[in-house]
Amino acid sequence: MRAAALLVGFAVAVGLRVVAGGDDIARSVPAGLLFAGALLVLVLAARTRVPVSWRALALGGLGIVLVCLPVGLEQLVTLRPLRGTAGFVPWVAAVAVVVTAEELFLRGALHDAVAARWSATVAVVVGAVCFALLHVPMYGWHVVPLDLAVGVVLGGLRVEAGTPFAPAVTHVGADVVGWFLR
Amino acid sequence: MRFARRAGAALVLVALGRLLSPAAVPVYDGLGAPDEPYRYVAAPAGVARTAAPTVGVASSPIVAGVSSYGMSVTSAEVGPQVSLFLPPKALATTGSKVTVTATPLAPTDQPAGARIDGNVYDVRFQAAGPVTMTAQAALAEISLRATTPRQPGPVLEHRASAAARWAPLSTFRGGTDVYVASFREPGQYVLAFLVAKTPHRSSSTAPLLLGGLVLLVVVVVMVRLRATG
Repeated sequence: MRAAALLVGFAVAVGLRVVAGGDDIARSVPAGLLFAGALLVLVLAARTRVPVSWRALALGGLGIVLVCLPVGLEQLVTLRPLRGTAGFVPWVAAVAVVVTAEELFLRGALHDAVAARWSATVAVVVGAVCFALLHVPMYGWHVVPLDLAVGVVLGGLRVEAGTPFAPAVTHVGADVVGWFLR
Repeated sequence: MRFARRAGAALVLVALGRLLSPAAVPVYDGLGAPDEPYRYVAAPAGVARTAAPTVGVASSPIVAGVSSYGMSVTSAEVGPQVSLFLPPKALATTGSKVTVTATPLAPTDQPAGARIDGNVYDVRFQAAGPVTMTAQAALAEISLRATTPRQPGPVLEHRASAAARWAPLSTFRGGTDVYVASFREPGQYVLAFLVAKTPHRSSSTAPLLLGGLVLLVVVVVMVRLRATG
């Protein structure tokens, strides 16, 4: 089954990142790029289509607001200062590659395979669970509720837009905003 | 209308997820944001010189005998080496204003069975009269940044004064190298690695990486066969 093969591939990609990243896995750029490369190989092997449209771009922009608003409000209420821009450019270049690869795989290749076998709803759930689990080695189990919720929203955007381009826009945008919300 | 309802539901879902994820930093990161080198009050031998660590300060007006604002006491390093959040009405006192400070100090003595990592942070309340913590303060949290992301990570330790003994706090990892605990009371807070536990290190990661890449090639072939079969 194609979906099962892709899930095994996803587990291998996460494993490669864990091994290459060691204790500093979350901030290791080489480990992140290795992970992204493994996912992109799977995306290419699955011949995933990524239609680009203005509607998907707009939905992706709306997704940025939806995903960032609760955290932004929390930052405002707790009066935490915003992070500065030192080191931002090289970080954002690497992060754009990693999160785009995540979206093309989870909301592209894997979503298509699961939706073809079962349904789009199951595909959204599977993608969200994988999204949450991939962050556990980096940040611990306590991030699962938030990443599960964000994963469902990203999957919903995929269904609404009909392309992984929309959740990719949201994910890149949310990470860029996330740099400053700390 | 249906679209607006879905967007609203998505917003509620993310807010709920955030409430259930007690983390110090947002965690959508494809990559964790890099931090500046740790700033020591008294750097260990061999550590490059940095700027001095900063003091975290926050104030709130006193209204009806309690602090009216939530206070975020955060130092200025990137990322902050100390961060303390006190919710609104967490402190009771007289006068018109209460100020909370978190001052970095050099460690003077080690907790039993553990080795201090980084600076000690001395948290103090200042107001016209005595300051007490209310029931609202049960939601207060303190987080400290470690000097290293190595695992198993350190735990937060606390003592009311420099003369008291260190006591470990229930600690969870709030980020790559950020550790969080409930704020108990004013006094000294520090991160410490247990001495008995040494980090596990495999002798080489190369065989694992090679095995993973081989497995990935097998999966790619399987995916291609499924696509064409």
